[in-house]
Amino acid sequence: MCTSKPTITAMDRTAALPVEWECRPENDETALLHAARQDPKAFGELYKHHLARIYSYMRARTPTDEDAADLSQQVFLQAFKSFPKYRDRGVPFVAWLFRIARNVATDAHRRSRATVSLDVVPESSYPADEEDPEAVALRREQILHARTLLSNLPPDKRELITLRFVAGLTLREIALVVGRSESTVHYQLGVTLQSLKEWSREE
Amino acid sequence: MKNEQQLRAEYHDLLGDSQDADLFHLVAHLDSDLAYKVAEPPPYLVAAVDGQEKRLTENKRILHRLLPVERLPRRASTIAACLLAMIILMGAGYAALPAFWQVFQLNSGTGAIVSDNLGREVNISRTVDGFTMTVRRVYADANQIVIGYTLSGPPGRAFNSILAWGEFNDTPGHRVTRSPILTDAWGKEFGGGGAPVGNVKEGEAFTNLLIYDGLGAEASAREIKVRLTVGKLLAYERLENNTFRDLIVDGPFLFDLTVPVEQGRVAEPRQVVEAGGMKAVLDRVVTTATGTRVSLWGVGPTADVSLTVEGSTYKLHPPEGQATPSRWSTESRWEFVTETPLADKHGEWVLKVKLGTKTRSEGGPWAFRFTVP
Repeated sequence: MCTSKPTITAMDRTAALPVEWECRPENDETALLHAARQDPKAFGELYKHHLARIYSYMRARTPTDEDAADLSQQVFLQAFKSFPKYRDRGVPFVAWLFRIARNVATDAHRRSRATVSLDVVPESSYPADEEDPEAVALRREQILHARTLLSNLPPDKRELITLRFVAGLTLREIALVVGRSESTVHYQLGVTLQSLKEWSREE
Repeated sequence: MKNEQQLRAEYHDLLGDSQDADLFHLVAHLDSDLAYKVAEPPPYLVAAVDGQEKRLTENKRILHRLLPVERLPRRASTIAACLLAMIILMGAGYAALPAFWQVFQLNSGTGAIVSDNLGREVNISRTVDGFTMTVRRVYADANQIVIGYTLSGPPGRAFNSILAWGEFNDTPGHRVTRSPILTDAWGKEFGGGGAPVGNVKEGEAFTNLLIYDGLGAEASAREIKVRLTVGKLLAYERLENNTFRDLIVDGPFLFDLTVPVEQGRVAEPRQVVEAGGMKAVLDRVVTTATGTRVSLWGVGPTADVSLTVEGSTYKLHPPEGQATPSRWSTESRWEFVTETPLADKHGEWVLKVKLGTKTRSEGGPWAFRFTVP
C-alpha cells in the first residue's frame, strides 16, 4: 500500500525515518499488522514472529540471559504502546521494531556500562555434544574466535555486524534502524568485513 | 552449517560474485559461530502469549502473590510481569490486578512495593487545561524513589497515551525533552526520572511510574520531603476517523510530597582489601525492595563492579545522580547500584571490583566477602 511521505516528530524515536518509500506487496507480515490494528490480541502473533530475533540481538548486546529477556520484554512493551503510531510508509515493521530494540539496548548499556565479557559466555551458547568432545572443543574455539573478532570492532561497526549476522536484517532494514543510507551501510559493512578478514589472517 | 549455495544466497549483498575465499570463509564463520544466533528465548518469554488457560493460571498466581499469603520466587514474578503486561495490553478482559498496581510489576525493582504494601498512598491531584495528574503512591529507600501517578484528559476526549514530561527545548524541527524534576527540601535534584516505565491504561486514565535515584547508602531518615515538578504532558489524542495527533500540555503540575523511607537491610563491612598495590574499602551495603547499593573508597566511578550471592552474579552501575568526572580521587567515596531486588538473599555475598579503564591510579582487582544481616 503506497502512502505519502511521512512527517517526523523528532522527539519520538519510534517515528518513521525520512527515507525512500515504496509500494510494498502484501505478505504475511502485512496481514499480521493489519490484524493487530483491528484487534490488540493479534499483536501476540507479531510478538511470536519476531521474539527470537529480538532476543538474539539483545543477547548479543547484554551480558546475561536474564538481561536479554528483560530487555526483550521492554522492546515489545514499547512497541505495543507505540504501535498505533506505526505506519508502513516504506519502513518495514521489523526495522521499526529493531530501532526500538537498539534504543532499549543503548539505554540499558548507558545505565549499566556493562560490556559483554568473553569469559561469561553462558554454557547454553556452546554446543553440547558429549559424544564427540573434540568436535565440541573445536566448536567452542570457533565461537570464541568469532566473538573475539567482534569485540575488537568499534561499537558502531560491531552493531552493523550484529544486525546483519545475529538479527538477520537486510541492508535496507539495517539502514532504517541505524538512520543511514543503504549504500553507506553496505560500504561500512564491506570495510568492516575486510578488516575482520585481515585480522583473521594475522592470527 | 549452511552449504555454499545457501550462504551465497543469504549474503549476496556482502559477497556479490566475489571469489575471495577468505571473505567467504569469514562470512561463513560469522554466520555459524556468532553464538547468540542460536540463543533461544527462555520458555516463559515464548509462552507469554500462549493460551488463555496459562494466562488464567498465572493471573491467579499473581493475585495470590498480592495477598499476604506467600511470595512467588523471583523468576515467577518475571513471568507474571511479562504475561500480565501482555494480558492487560491485549485487553483480555478477565479479572486482573488493578491497573495501578500492574504498572509497578513492569519494572523489576518496583514489584515489591505493591506486593509488600510499601510506601504511602497519597492521592493528590492537580488539573491544568482539563488534564489531571494524580500522584497516588510514593516510596523511597536508599536505591530508588518511586512515584506512581495517573493522568487523564478532559472528559469526552480519547487518548492513546498521556505521559508526564519535563521542559522542552523546542527549536524548529528539533526537540529535547527531560524528565519531570524531583528535588529535596534544599532544592537538590535527584537523578533519574527517565523514560516512562510503562503506560498502563485504566479506563480513560493512564498510570505510570517515575523512578529516581534513591537517597544513597548513608540514608537514615525515616521520611523525606520532596517537590515533583512536571513541566509538560505529552498526549497522543485519538480523533474522529481514527486519526491521531500529538499534544503538548503546558503545566506545571507541582506536588509537595512527604515520602516514607524504607530502611532495608544494611551491612557495614568496612573491609579493606589490597590488590595490585592499591587498597580499596567496602564501606556500606544497603539492600532494599528496589535494589542494592554499595559504597566504596579507593576505586573510581568507572569501576567494573559485580555482586554474587546465592550463585547468581549481578552487574552494578553508578547511580543516575552520581557524577562521573574525568578526573577523580581515590579519597572519594563512590556508589554502585543494581535495581535487581536482592533483599531476600542470604549467605555470603561477594563483591568483585575491577578498574575497567586506564586511570591515574591502577590496582585491583579486589574481592570483598561479607554477609548482610
